Amino acid sequence: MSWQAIHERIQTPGRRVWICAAGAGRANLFRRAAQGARHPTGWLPAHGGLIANLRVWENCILPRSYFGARPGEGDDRLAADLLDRLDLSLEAGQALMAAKVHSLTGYQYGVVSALRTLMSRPALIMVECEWFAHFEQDEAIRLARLFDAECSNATWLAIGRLAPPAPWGTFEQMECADEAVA
Amino acid sequence: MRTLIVLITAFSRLNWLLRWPVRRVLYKQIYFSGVQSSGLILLIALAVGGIVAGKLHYQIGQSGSGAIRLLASLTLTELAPLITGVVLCARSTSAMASELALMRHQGDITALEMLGVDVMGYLVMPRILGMLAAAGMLSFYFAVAAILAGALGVAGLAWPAAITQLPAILTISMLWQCMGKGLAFGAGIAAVACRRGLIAAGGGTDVPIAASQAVVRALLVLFGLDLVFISIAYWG
Repeated sequence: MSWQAIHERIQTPGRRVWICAAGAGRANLFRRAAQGARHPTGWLPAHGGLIANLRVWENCILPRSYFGARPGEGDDRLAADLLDRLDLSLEAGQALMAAKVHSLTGYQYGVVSALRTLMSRPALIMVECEWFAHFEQDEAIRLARLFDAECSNATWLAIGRLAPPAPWGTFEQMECADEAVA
Repeated sequence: MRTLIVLITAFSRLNWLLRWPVRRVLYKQIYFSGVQSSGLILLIALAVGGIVAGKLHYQIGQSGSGAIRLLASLTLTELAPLITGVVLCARSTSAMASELALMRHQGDITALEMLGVDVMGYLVMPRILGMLAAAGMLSFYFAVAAILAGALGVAGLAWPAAITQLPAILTISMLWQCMGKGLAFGAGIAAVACRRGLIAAGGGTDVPIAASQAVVRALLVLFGLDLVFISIAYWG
């Protein structure tokens, strides 16, 4: 499938697409998708993906405040609500938000990148398939419901060797032509 | 040439300052390069003012008022922007280049690109603007501190009387020259640092290489720009 065909698919709201690719080809596909998308885009990488010289809270509000207005009480309320729905206690949530990025565990990286995406409500969510593996079944179900509620019209583009697991819905598998990943 | 392209691209994104996260990067840069450097600049300015005025008065034999006049003129037109630039090269360009190189290495820059955040508008423009503002202000601050230190060294407790003579001999163009050079030096060395940081290969060893190369190149740009200023003043 050509890049043009993939691009058209990921323009359709609510669509979930999985492409089996890895390495430089995957990076190229994500880059092309990000360039052609309406911003902000959601980014859920396998590892890292947060800005190390910002605190967790600043990372969470970065896309929202970059593409929207100055952060205010609405952002605090939204973050508190999301943390509550993730079953994180107030203290644990506040500690996580105040933490420096380098102190996070791999699992926390996954949660924070999810929170950042949920807060910016993007039209396109790009996922490296290894990101799904950060979460146990129960957590994945809870998080998937949160995404369905907050980003109901978002298109998902998952790229990786492993197919997205069941709690995340049905992903349509696409094969892409060599020119698409070049 | 590529540094000039970075500078032009950064200035073409000045309207990014309307975005709150970009303004935060700018404030942080002004704080880091301007406010946190002010103590060091003050110490160096006091030393330079004392040394130059002492040389002129006690060794070369200039009169007290003559020494202060020469010091004021020399400091405003040359020493203040140049020494401020050298201090900022040593202190801020290495930090700026290594920070950007590390961001490249850790994948932060890729993450910003994936989120749709413009790297030139978010990372480069506020850093250049912050350094430019810091260098301009610190140059003027350096000049004032050096002149006061020189006046105190030469005239002792009568330094206020010596200072009151300065407005008669200092021209507005000297003040503009001090500020203009400071701004240009700040923009130049920041552009060099940002470019070197951004083109880092991504390996861990490239971070210290980027830092040291940024300092060396920024110093070359600094002295090159000063020569350009002197040439313009001479031929103009």
